[in-house]
Parts: sequence; structure tokens; C-alpha cells
Amino acid sequence: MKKVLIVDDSDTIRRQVAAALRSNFAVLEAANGVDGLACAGANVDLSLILLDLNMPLLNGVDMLEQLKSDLRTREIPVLMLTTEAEPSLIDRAKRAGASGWIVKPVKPDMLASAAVRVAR
Amino acid sequence: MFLERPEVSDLMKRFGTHACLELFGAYGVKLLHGADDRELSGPVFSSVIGLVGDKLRATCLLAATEGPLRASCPAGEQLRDWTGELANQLVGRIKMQLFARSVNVALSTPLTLTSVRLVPLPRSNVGPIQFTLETEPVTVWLEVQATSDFELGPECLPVVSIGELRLF
Repeated sequence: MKKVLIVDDSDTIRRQVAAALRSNFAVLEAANGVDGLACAGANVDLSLILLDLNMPLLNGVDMLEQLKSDLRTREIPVLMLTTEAEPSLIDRAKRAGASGWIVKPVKPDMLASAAVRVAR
Repeated sequence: MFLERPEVSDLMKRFGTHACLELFGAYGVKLLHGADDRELSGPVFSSVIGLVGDKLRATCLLAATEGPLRASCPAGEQLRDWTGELANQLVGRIKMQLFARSVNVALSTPLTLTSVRLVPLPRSNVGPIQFTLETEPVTVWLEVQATSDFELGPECLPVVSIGELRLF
């Protein structure tokens, strides 16, 4: 089964997203960017990462840039899942190699179909 | 220099009202706006986020008792965690309304606290925004300061709307 990593500091959001994706993916979770990077490094066969923006320790765009600069993890598709829609942040994520941007809240069926579509 | 400007506080109050009603509505909860301004009594879940820009800065507190939080929570029952996420989404919506009018602010991550009571003591005449779900309160408390030359630009459409997916 394909693996997805959900990185979000809200336990509630991780549960909600996991429930939406569990029929198609094995789900891994991390609560901040530092743990997310470690989890991605240990699971380089990930099919997809869903990544929040505003998190403690390391925010989502910084984590994305580190993922995409690491040869082991750079090919993993990343969907940003956040409360913000600031164009400069969206452009930064796009330049860093994100596959897409979703503004919360998102309907579970839309999220599930987007994940299937973007996952490698 | 940052000042308390009542017209800016009123503007932010309108943004906050709209954002809170839409946010809870997105989770299937219809809040009523304009309840009396009584204190919240416990347990009360509160989350605070700071907004900082060149010409505007604000503190936003979202507080509620268990009923509205349970009714809106999409998964699990960790109400403290959910309060922080709701505050994050609330302030994200306010930020989008500001950004659509050429005002950019950075956001802090939410700090969440639980208390027996919450009694707001506003610094200015612009008090907290009160809502109810049945008999249970939800409060959004925005304290705002702006520079004397702060003003909104003409409104434009967001690059990505709430609930939308944009693939690159």
C-alpha cells in the first residue's frame, strides 16, 4: 500500500486527514517540521506528504525547501494544506517544488481525490 | 508609531465577525451573532494568535465553552487542540481579508489555555465579538493598533479561495 505522511501540529486535523486517506494509503504522522523531516528521511518511499504551514520548530515552507534539497526525499510529491493564501508564500512553495496548495477547511472527498491524483 | 484607531478596530471587528460565522459554518455549526456580553464560565477554552505587519498589529483571542467546540470538531475530542486549530483558521481568514485589500501581516502559532472563567477587559471601547450556539458562548476578542497612515487598498480576489485546491 502507498504511504502518505501528514505533517500538522493539530492532532484533530491529522486525525481528520488520516480518516479521509486511510482507504487508499498507509498513514504516517508528524506534529512539526523537524519530526516531519526525520520521518520523511526514514521513509523515502513515501508516495505523498501533506504539509501544514504554521507549525512550531520548523514551518511548512522551510520543511518543504529542506525536503526538496535532499536527494533522498526531493521526488516525494508535497501538497501544502494550510489556512493561508498569501501569494508570496504560494509562489515560494511552488518554486521549492510543491505539487499544490489547499486552503483549510477542505472536504474529505476532495482531499482524498487530490491525494490519489498527486501521489507517485 | 502604533495607535489605537477606533475606525480600524471597527473594521477588524467586521472582518472577525464575518470570519467566525463562516468558519463555524464550514464545520456545520450556525452561530448566532450579537449575544449579550456576559462572561464565559467554565471550562473555557481560549487560544491567542498575534498578527504583525508594517502598519497594523493585533492580538486575536478565540474563546468558547465545550458545546460549540464539540459541535464543530471534525475528529476526536481533544478540545484544547481543536481550539488552537480553529483560532489558526479564524486568523487565516482575517489575514485573507486583509491581504485582499493589500495589507500583509505575519501570524504567530496559537497559544491555547483552559480556564474556569474568562472576563474580557477591553483596552478600548471596541469590545469582543459575541456569538452563541444555543446557550453556549463563543467570543472573538481582537485588540488592534495601527499607524496613522494605515489604510486599506481596493479589494481584489484571492489567489486561492478557502476550501480550494490549486495544483501547480
